Amino acid sequence: MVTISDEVKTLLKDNGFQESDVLEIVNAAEASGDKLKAADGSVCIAKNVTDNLTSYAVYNDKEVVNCYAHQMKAGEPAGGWDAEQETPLESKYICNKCGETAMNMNVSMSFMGMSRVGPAIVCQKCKDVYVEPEMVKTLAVAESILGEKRA
Amino acid sequence: MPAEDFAPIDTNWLESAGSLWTTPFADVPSERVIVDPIMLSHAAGVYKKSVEYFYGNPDEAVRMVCGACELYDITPVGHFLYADYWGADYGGELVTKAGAPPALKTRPIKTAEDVDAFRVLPPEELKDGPTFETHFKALDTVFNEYPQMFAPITQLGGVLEVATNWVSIDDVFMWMVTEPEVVDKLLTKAGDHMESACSCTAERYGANVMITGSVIASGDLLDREQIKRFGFDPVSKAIRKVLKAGAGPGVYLHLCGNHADDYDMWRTAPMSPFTVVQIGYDGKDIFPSAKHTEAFGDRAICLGCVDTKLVDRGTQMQVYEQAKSQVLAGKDSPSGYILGTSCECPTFAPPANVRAIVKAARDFGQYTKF
Ligand SMILES: [Zn+2]
Repeated sequence: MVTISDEVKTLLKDNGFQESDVLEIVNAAEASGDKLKAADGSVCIAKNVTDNLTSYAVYNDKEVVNCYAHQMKAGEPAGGWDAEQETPLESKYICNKCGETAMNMNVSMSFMGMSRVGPAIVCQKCKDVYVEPEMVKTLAVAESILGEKRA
Repeated sequence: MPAEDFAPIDTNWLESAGSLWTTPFADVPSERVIVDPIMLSHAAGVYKKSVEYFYGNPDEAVRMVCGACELYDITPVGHFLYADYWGADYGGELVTKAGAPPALKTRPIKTAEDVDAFRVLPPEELKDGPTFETHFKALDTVFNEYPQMFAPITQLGGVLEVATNWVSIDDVFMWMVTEPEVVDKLLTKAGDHMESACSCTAERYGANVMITGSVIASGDLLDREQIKRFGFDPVSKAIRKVLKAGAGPGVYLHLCGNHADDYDMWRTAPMSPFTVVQIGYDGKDIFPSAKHTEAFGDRAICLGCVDTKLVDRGTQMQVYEQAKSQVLAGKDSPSGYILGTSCECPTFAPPANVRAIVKAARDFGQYTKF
């Protein structure tokens, strides 16, 4: 049973997340096995997708060490999977369910009725899509600019 | 020319140009395609100033650029950049030349051994260096005096362009053959520099557009395999690093020159929701917007080009015809389209030719997709 680190508690408060929501994301991932594992075994990433928010929890054996969310809805790899075969680079994560390395790819990102692409990592086998914690600021700034322009 | 020498920008024009410019980025409908001919020192001519004056006075340069944007009715953004960025920060000597942008006379790396010892400056050191002193002087002027025409950029080029501001291009080309691992190492450092530089801009203004891509790594100088190793792969890694450092979200991929044999490779370069892809030439011909939007229209804003040679030396009618055919082919591209030029607006191009591109966008650039 993981707990929530003090830093993440502060982060949750600042972002309006509930502790119970984060624990629920982790528990659901542990029950289903749908999660990413860092190749070095240090952390797992679990996610919960709703219509207008995708939330993530990063955790180790003991505690949740990070959580983040984006409003853009991540979809299919741009151009479909085959077209992307030539150059996708391996990420440092493995899809827990499939045991396959997840790849860096551009995926469709929908937001406020428009669609562009954004950087994500995708499992080679089940095509599950995750946004890495470091990439979330890129999406947040894009959401804020688009929110203003499309308001 | 201090600020008080410039007539105010027409607010009605600014509003309508702003709306045209927003369309490709945010899908908010407007009347027609906007033109972005990469206005830089051409603007000096509009005010009868010299190129040296333009580059020697970055604050006045951007005032002239903003004025020229209104005069020509093009993208309302005050740009400032030149090719030889980032050498002086590392000990190279930047000199001014009559009729040309500043250029490096000496470069900091002289031998392959120097590459190992070369230390990339972290943001806290780079931000106070000579390049950002000039660059921020220009950007701050736009930010303070033309806030609606402000978009923060960082001029990089691809990794090879950054690297050739540190080492002579002849040495880099020689090492590609004799010691390719040294070039790989150099380009990794160029990528680290890109992350550092973009972080400085993002820190100062809250967001950044990285001007990157592939200029030297084009089909005129390198084959596809070389472009992949010395261009695409390290540039992709650098873009990903910049985005991960929170120093985006803008990615401007400037594929200058001939990219007939490698343009498709760039489809998988890391992209943000604000990515512009510009491709210069398809062999000797201008890169057709139909082919461009076919390859990139599902993922990025396509900046379709009119040949700068034509803008510089062609007739007004030749420019108008090429702009017409490009804008008709590209205007409804699903992720947005901008009509531009294959590189910087030529300094001494006839104003009538620059205006002919805008004329074509006005006559034929109406959207039908909205
Ligand atoms: Zn999988």
